[in-house]
Amino acid sequence: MENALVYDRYQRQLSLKGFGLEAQQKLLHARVLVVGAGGLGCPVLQYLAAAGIGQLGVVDPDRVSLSNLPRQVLFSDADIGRQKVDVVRERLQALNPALQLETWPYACDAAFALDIFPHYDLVVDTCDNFPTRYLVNDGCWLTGRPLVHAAVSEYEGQVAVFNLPDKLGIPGLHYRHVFPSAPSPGEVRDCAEAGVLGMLPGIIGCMQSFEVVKVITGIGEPLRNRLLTYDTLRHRQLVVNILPASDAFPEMPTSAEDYLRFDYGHFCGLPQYAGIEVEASVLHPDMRIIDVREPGAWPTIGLVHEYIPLSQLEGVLQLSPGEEVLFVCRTGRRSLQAALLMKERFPLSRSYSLKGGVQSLSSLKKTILP
Amino acid sequence: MKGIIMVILVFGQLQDITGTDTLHIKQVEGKKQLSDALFELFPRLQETKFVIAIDRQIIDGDAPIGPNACIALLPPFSGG
Repeated sequence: MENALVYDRYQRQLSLKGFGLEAQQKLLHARVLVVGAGGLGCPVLQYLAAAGIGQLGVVDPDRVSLSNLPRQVLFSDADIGRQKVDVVRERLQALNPALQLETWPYACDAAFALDIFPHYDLVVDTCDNFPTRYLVNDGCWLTGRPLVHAAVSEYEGQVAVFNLPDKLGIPGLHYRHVFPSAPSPGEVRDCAEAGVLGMLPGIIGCMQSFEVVKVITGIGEPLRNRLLTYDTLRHRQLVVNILPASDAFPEMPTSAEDYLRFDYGHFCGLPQYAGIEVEASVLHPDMRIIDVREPGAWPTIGLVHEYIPLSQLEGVLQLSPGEEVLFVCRTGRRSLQAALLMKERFPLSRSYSLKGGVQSLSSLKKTILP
Repeated sequence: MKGIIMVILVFGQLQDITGTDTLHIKQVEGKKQLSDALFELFPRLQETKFVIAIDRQIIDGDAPIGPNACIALLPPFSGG
């Protein structure tokens, strides 16, 4: 970009004390990879593109859905059903035509991390699940990339900068120094289960993108080896220092070969549920359908079915050998727990969980109703 | 140390277990004793991943707790 244009466009940043042309040039030459274009990814991408990051990469497998819109503010109603990275490309190119952009419409896995991370100066973790968080952490450690981490839960958020060497070249700590192993499934509810107000990932995503700018330009003190927890309800904020964990990390892959073989789903305690999670297409009209949501859950299913909340299932439901039951909830997560629970208690029954939950209701109706 | 009450900040979904964002419990001398006391009060914490920060430090293993220490219970978050 011509210097005159740079000056006009970034005038407010250039005139900021302690920032200036030198810092702006660093942004313009920076390459930043963003893993996840969701509630955190949207503000991160938007503000980094606007601030003049030279090259952004975005990897996300999802399509825009209606329930994304209150927090994923890059997307609008007309984008529902479109691949997120395609919409991101449109919006960011319109916002800043000088931006170099690479997009991948699939999930970040180990092969992707080994292949793509080295082409970027730093990685921003804006994903929404533990398997990907550990995968990104380990990938950054293996490829020597700094990692700007953020995550949210209900009304609170966390931000940290991992794997960033200090000025003397001493390596930074990583996520496993705080949480060496993942919580078991269901222990920490994600946004789909626990709910979230859009402003929270907006705030935390802006803090996260600010950390990106600090790491790239060298201004201020990034949250290197520190974890910030912010509670929006009470405006409580706590920054804690992370000290190196004394133990090695037996569950962390230490070579590219180990990394490619490492099963992050298994590591995070996700059961093997092939054959239990089903699409609507396997259903037939005689199948017993049980909604495991708490009473009053919305939207209703609108089909002949029973209600047994997950919390009461164990005491109430008896299944005979060969009996087929389809469990349903809003997202498909609680129904999966229900199906696994019943599989364990009645091994000869055939318990299924509707993948995608009530959200896949329209296809369910088409399949079952005449 | 007798009679001194410690203030513990509770973050995230750990509040579902403790029922509050701020706990007050009798002073203990170290991190190990603190987790034992917490597990006795809230058995479900034993099945939950979280770290204890003492005076804004996350320390692996046991560590002493002085009077008026700032203590926080921090769980991992996954949402994005």
